Amino acid sequence: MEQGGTLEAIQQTIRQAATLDELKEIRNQWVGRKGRITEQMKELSRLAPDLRRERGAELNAWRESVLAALTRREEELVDLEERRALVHERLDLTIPGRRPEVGLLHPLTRVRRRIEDVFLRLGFSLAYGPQVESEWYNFEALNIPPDHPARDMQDSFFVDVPGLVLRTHTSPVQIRSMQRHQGKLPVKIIAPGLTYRRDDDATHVPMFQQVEGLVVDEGISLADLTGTLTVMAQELFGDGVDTRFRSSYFPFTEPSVEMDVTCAVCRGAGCRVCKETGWVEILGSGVVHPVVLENGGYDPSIVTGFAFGMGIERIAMRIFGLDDLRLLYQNDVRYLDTFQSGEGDGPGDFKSSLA
Amino acid sequence: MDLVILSHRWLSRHLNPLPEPSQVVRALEQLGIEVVARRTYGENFAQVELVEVVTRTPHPDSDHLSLVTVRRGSGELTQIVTGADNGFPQDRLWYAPPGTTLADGRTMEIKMLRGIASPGMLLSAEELGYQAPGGDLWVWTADDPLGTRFLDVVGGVDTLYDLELTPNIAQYLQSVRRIAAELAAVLNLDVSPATPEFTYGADLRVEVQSLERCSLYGLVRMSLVEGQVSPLWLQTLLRAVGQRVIHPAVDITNFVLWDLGEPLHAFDARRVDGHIIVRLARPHEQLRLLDGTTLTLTPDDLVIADERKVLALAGIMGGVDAGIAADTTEILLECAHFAPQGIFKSSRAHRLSTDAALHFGRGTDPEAVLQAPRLVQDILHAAGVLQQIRGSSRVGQLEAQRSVPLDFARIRSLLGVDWPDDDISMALQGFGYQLEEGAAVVPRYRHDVSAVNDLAEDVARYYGLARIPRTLPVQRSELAHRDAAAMWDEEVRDLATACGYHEVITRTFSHAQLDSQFAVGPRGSAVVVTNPLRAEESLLRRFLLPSLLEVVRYNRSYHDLPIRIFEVGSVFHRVDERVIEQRELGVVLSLDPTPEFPPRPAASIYDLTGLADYLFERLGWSAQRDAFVDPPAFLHPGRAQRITSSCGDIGYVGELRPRLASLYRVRRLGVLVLRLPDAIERTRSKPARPSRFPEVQRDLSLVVPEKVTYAELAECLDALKIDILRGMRPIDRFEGAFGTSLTVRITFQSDVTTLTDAAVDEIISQMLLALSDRGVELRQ
Ligand SMILES: [Zn+2]
Repeated sequence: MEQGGTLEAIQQTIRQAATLDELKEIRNQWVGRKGRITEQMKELSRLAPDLRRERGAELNAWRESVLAALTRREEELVDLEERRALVHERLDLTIPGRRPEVGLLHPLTRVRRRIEDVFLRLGFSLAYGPQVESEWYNFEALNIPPDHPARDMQDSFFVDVPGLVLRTHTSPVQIRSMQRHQGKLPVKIIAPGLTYRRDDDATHVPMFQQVEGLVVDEGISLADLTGTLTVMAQELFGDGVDTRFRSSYFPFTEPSVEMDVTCAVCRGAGCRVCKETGWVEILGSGVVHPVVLENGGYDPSIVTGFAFGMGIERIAMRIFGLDDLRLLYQNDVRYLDTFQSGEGDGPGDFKSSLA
Repeated sequence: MDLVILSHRWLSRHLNPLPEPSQVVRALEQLGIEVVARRTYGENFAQVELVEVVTRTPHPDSDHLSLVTVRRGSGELTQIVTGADNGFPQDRLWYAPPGTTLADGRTMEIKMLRGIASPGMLLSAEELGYQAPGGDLWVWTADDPLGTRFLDVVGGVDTLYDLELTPNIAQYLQSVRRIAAELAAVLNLDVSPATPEFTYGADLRVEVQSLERCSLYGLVRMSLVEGQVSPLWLQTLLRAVGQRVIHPAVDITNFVLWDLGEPLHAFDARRVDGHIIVRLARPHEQLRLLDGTTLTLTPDDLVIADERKVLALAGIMGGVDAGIAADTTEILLECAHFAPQGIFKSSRAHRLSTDAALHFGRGTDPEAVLQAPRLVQDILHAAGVLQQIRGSSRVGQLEAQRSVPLDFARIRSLLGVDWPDDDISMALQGFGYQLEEGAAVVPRYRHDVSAVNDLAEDVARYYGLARIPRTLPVQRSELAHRDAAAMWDEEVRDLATACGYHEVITRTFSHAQLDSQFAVGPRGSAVVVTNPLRAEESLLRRFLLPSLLEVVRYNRSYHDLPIRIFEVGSVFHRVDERVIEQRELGVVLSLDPTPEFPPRPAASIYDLTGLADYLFERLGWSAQRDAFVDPPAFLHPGRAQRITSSCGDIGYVGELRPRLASLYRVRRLGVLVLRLPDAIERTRSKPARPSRFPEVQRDLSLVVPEKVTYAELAECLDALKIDILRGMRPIDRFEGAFGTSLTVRITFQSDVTTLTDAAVDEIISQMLLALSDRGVELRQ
């Protein structure tokens, strides 16, 4: 080709274009409306047909080739220019990210739900009762007559409505549930709720949460109680946990037993936390006392039952490894914020925390 | 719970062979007796040694001190300074070398006494915690070799178990003999035979006026040898379990109390006028106690009296008038069985919880009335303390033994075991039941046994709970269900948490001033706690908000962090004699700007109004926000709304008055309070198929008069019923010279066609026309 050199030379110019403007100029020079290739194509009509075809094909090939080179270079230049610009937009991503604003359930709520979940899977329904309870439901119906020494064990808060107390345990829900079932079998409930006793130190708070359990049916035995509670302990604390039962006393169960689990701190070897026994007491339970069955409207010569009651705080302390119960009710948001992972939300989390 | 100290050495009087302490601990736990701690007694006696006085000379610089040289077991001579007035050559004494700790806690060292060094001390019996006849220093008359340790003569170190007894067990196991019997049963050991019965005469006059309160009363008159003390072994046992030794007549009653579980009482016979009368107290009758106080009695109290005065509050505490004195040699020993309820009530009424009252109040063994005097007689006689028995008498009879039906199958099914009848029989007999056809005769001391469940418990204790299988109940399957109201609470908790709020759990207590300050709307009066732990907790809260505000204050006094908290909690009020418990949701959000990078939009009250709307929508709860006619004083008058549902007012949302907020250490505080329903019909959302045609957006900048609210503006446009109007939201708002400018973005979309500009323009003009009626104009 005349006046300007070879195709090779044009492509060389394109590759060397340093800016998009430069590239635009090259485009105009060769393939723009008045570009040299464009001009020559316009002149084809003056040529003889044979020559025109030959020359036309040649010019078209040039044009295609130049356009392709222009596009390629343009792509390169755009990318280069953006890259140059982005360098100035660099951010310091080591700055702490903006955390999603999501709250957290109270650790006791999470532990309560875990307990409820275990028992729901075992076929227990959830039951509730009032926090301000009649003395009859809280004491007499549970085989605790007015002069019974056991009333001293549970220092009650009284209110200015005669005959009512702040319930000292969730056990009155046993009676209420039996009455609600009106003699139907089985009664199989757990009753979580707030309870109150006049105590305030590192291991006692005046308001605390319990979960009560009750099964009434024909042929319910102490073995069913120990079996059920063992399953619960393994679900809450992991398969590795050991349980043992000790004779105890509660007016509303007979026989009465307490359950211990292996100490989480020393894993049974003995330490200060478990008073060198390797065991930590976790709940009280027993075979339902015949008087209690009668007060719930059931005939103790036909049905039997078992019942248990546990402090959610104690379970939580064990799960989270806490030694001061009061902190759980201080509501320091920074403290609550430390209960982020591990327990209470996903299935299986408990076990991994103790593994 | 009763705390009892059990001595291993004391057990050895009753158990053969004597098990190892670790075995005892395991067996006690199997029996349901908690061993709180294990200690030792007597270790400090290991250094106290028997020495012989070689010389005694006066201290050169003191009138009352002497220098005593003693020969020790090693033959070594040691010079000790003493102030005692006995201890002469050839006397054998107890010597505490430096390093020894005495009963009162003092530790021996080398002391300079008037210029002469004294390494340790020569001891009196009292300094060892004992009683001995004779003068200051304890002159030892037994022929133990020199160098003998005091620990050896008391029988070596004892192991002590601190036991915690549950009330049922405390009813009969506060007795070493009975604990030994139960240990023997589960460990398969021999136990000492029961004490033979005392043969009561009929030569002392005793009158029991209330056989219901005192079914059995024995009285024995004894002459004691003057100047005697209790035998060393008995002193050692009492000291080990923390009792003081006082006088043989008192010591023996303490011994019998812990050994047999039977409280005895000894009167000084010299000071009793006429015969003993067991009767109810007369109104206002008085009893002087040892500590100088005086009890005023009532006819509910049972007393032991003579013909002129009251001697003791029966089964609880003796008076000073006929008490044992150091020189007492003639005693009247009382051994009785009192009705537990009477003792329990009297000891409560007079706030006297003595060991005797604790035992009698739970019920003692009536048979002990027959055995105890014999035990006393045998021990005091052997120790050379008892001179003579000078008369005795007994009033009343042993009550018949109770029995409970013995149903082996029932015991098996209660325990969930398949143990044969013989095994069950063996367990019951091991614990002292006599078995008859279909019945188990209950030992007289087992006041806790009344039915087959009690038998089952004893069988379980006998074999240990470890032998009970662990099964899951086999039952008809039933669907377990949750409670609707509780589920509602849980959903609210989950939503609030998802929206960024932390759950807190506060105490339900409050106090009157705080409770009424945050009162909203009519509510019944507060439920008052009559025995609160502290004044700030003297009633049950009627409103949740104050509890949350306290949490704000607590947190802000420690750290300057934004507060985003909520609680679902109970509130209470009373209507006549009924207490109504309701649940409230409370949400508190601090609105103070917090510098933060990367930046976040500042919290505002709109976060809480938005939260309320979101909750209503997610819960399908037909509730809405509304203007307050008369907002409560604690809320910002210009930034508060009430919330209503078909139940009427159910809550509010707004900012706290800034002046009030500052009391809680925040400048601005947003609050949302909602009373949660028990169970309500929920509206269901109706999902709609999205249109296939594109949306058109228009932004309108409007000048809005001050009195016109956004809600009115939206209402006005809704009233036009424009079917292609999909939504409107504010995107900018500011105040200018012309008033309030509000820019809204309006979205149009048709279900059937692509909208043209002309069609949208047409709708916009309609809208502007309608708005102009309210004084709303397009901003130029
Ligand atoms: Zn441990």
